Amino acid sequence: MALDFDIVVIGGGHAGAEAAWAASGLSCATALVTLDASVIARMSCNPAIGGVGKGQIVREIDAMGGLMGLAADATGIQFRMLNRSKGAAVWGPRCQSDRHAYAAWVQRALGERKNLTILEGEATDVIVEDGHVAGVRIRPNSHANRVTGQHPQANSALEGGTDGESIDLRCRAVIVTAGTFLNGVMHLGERTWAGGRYDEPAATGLTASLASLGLEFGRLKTGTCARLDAATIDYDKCTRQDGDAEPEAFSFMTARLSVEQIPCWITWTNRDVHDAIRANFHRAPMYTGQIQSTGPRYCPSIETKIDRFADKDRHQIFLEREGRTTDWVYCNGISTSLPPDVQDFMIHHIAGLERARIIRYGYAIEYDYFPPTQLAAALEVKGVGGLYLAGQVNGTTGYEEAAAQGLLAGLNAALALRGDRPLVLRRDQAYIGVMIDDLVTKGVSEPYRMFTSRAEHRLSLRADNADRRLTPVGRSVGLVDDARWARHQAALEAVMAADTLLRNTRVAGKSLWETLRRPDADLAGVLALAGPDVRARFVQLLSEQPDAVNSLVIDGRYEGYREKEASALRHMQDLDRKLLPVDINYNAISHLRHEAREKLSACRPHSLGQALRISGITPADVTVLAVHLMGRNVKMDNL
Amino acid sequence: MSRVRLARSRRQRSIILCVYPLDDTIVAISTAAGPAGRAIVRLSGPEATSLAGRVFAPVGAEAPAALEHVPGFRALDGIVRLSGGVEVPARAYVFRAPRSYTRQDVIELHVPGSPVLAGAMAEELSAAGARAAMAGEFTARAFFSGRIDLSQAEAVADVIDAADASHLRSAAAALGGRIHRLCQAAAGELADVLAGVEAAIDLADEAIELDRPANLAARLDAQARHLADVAEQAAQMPENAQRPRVVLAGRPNSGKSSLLNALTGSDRAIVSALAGTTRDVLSAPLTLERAGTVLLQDAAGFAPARDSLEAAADSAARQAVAAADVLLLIGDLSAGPDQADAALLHELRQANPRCPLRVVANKCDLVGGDAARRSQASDALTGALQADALRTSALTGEGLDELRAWLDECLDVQAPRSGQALALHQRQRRCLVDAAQAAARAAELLAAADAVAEVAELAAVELRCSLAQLGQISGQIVTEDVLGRIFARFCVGK
Repeated sequence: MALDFDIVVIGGGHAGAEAAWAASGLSCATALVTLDASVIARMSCNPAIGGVGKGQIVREIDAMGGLMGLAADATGIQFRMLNRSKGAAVWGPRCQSDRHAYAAWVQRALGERKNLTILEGEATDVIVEDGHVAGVRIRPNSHANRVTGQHPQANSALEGGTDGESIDLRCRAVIVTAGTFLNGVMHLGERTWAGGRYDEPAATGLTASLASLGLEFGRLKTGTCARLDAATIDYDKCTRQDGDAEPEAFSFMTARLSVEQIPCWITWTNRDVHDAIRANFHRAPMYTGQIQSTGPRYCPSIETKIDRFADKDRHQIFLEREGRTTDWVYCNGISTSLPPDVQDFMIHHIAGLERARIIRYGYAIEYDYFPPTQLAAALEVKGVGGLYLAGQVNGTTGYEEAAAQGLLAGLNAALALRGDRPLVLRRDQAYIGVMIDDLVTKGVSEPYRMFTSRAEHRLSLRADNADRRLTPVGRSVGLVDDARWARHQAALEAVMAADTLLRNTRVAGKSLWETLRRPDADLAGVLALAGPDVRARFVQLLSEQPDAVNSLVIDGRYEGYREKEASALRHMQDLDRKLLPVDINYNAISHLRHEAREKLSACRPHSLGQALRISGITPADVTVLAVHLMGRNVKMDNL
Repeated sequence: MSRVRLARSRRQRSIILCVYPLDDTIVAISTAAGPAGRAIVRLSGPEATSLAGRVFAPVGAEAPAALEHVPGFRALDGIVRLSGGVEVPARAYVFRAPRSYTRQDVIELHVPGSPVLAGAMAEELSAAGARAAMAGEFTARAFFSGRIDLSQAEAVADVIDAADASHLRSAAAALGGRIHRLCQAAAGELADVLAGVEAAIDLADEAIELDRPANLAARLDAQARHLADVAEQAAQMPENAQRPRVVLAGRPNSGKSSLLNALTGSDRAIVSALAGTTRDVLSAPLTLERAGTVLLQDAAGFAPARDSLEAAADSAARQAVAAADVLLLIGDLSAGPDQADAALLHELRQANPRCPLRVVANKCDLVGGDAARRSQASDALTGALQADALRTSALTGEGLDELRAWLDECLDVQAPRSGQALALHQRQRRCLVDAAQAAARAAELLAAADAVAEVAELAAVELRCSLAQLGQISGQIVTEDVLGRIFARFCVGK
């Protein structure tokens, strides 16, 4: 029994959802295989989207025609612009989400998507013929309603099979987005059990299948906190944190957010809690050796915080409501895998939580990941054509990071089937470009999370200009629809008109643009210098396209520093635009050092810039490479 | 070099590039370390003539008003004027694009051989906007403009590589690693401050206690002053951290080129023109066990002066000899001792009196018969020259290990030259100055702020610039390092 698709996506988390959305959007017949379609796009940890660095990624996903920004806008229950007190370059949009509504919104969007079929079952094998993906073997779930979507024969094919019988999905590309499900093991105190999330089974076959294709894998750890019953929390003892009075949307397509916002609450741990945790280190899986793998430094469990920062006598906790209609509350700040009795004590000795009912205990999870240096910049596995990996399986953490990889993997799988060149975003173009370059060039030693400090071009990679950076890219590959493109064009026209106005209006020998060139420049003050006609025209543009025109003003304010930022990196930008041929035999370049040959052969960099970022590769090596290619008349594509 | 290849190279230059920018103006001191006969500062790039004009003024009846007005090639006598009232007679060689080594405007300023003066000139030119050239940059430009061909350029890449690898090592060897340590310490302190600044940006919602901006500003000020002091001190010191140079002299056909090839293990035609060498001296790098990478130079044109001393001094070969750290006089053992060898030896000792010198009796394979016969021949040479000759054969490799060992010993002992606590390449000094200025600007931003958050993203730009400059001397501080410092200090996480 077999079914035909172009692309099969394995996994229905945030990476899988974007991958399926993108691949089907580029007119590929796409299947999404998931263990349980009712939990597609589930938020398994905190009920929030965005943040500093992450929020910029969501804007980028949205600018290219992805799902996440729209879903977050539709289902957010509190919106805040982080870093609002700081320069606009580092503002990070964030929202609390109704996690049930969020998942339902994404499920509906995928369910209605043309070219997309959702199949319930476990993918057990990736079938490879002659070094290229040929299909996926799945074991369909035994219950009914296993298929949503478009494929004409899918339902009958699955219905026709007997329970437990495998089905092959023939396809030309596979995107693996299995999250924490691959051989997932949960830890709660001394107790361990197999699973992908708290109450969901693990996927046990796929790692071995991928390993048989030559992929190396490792283990990482992450964890989450206890969930509490909202009705049992004493909010009078907590500090209220409200959303922004004028909430800002993620999506460039959301004209205006009108949302009734729900507050978060802040409380703190204390010495009693710390003492109790310290007294139970011998029962903490993190310290008994029960958990072997590495967790993220920036997301430590409460026991790790107390161990490493012994001098701090309290840690902050955000109490985040998981939705409008649910009683579940997420306790941001005290992720733990301590035994239930310690968690009980800990929670009940925190101000405001004395009588809190614990709905679910915190736990840790260990899972398989595949070191991402095995991937080319398109997120395709080197040496296995058509096999793409995205999300936590690549050693990242975070919904946004996963979604962004899913989007790019989905696009690249589709582009490859078309015979087009892969879409690789540059480091000066997008946070997504920074992330993927970091992953495939340097690999990971702990779950990778985005920070703005990872971006060399931070002042240019802003939330406010993501559409100008990436909507043309999304349009050129075919994911940006006409409505989004029209909105973008209108915004761009306003930007260009405002730009002309600022540059061409001179007061005392200086253009308004030059006057604006200060991070603290006051737009009203600058406009006051101009004549009433110019001022009126500018105000009109500002009222028609406030976000776009403000974004231009931010460009102006930062221009001096952006030049400074770019001047040191200008050359790297040029190198990143020099794409290397895919079939270079590095071992045949006699002038390369032995170590350089090995490293370049292993990495197979996408561009001269990436080559230079490989650890141990020197400028001299890259010069030799450039000289070699030029001498042999190899044309390097100029992006 | 075939015409076809050249033409193709030129056509392709728009799509190719090396890791250095090719279109700005670079400056470098082109003479070797030490008290040479004269020092050369070389500029290449679009601003070469205008920048050179800032320090050089032509004199004489036929002098052009400005270097920009000089067409083609011309040598001009004039005066170099530096700030502080220094004035010295000088000669400028103007090579207008495309008739130059790099096909860009190239200016060479020749001044009496004071390293301090050359350093000051280069310093003033880079302060005026020229960028201090990296090893191999002039050659890279020559290649990418189609001026030299692939085989030459590939060999040059080896040289750049050797220079990269030996860069820190030679600094460490010559200076007891002091600069390196100093830069690392400063970079560590800057990275710590940067971690505090980045934390203010990236850990927006965390309950962390950020540093007070005044404290960070004070720390940065201290570093900026320190770095500026070091650069200032270093500016007083002669350049001595360059690669040691071994210069081969000898009569035509004594086998200098083949010996040079044999020593460097290279079987291809010798490279011309590494950055920092003069036009017609052939060079190749040689890595020695202890002394690191040294430069072998073939002073083929060196001959006893017959014409006026001035004319002879103009020859690049003579400058190479004068700047040598070790001299090798290559004699042809098969041809027997010659009066010309003795004259040459005398001339070498005149040109560079304190330099270690060794006579090498080459081509011993051509002396027929047994070892005794060869020994006899070299004894004859030794006797004629009154110098101990080392017997070698570039063909069979005889004596080469011994020669390398002797060079190693000579140069290793020489390396820590006394009396110079701290000396820097002009480029390194420029890095220190730029790093200090960027750190000072960051300090200024922070000092004026009530909270780090107000200026965090701007201060970070300056700090990153500062760290990038220091990184050129002591190795780059990477993002991971800064993140590590953040998470070591601040307790964060959900």
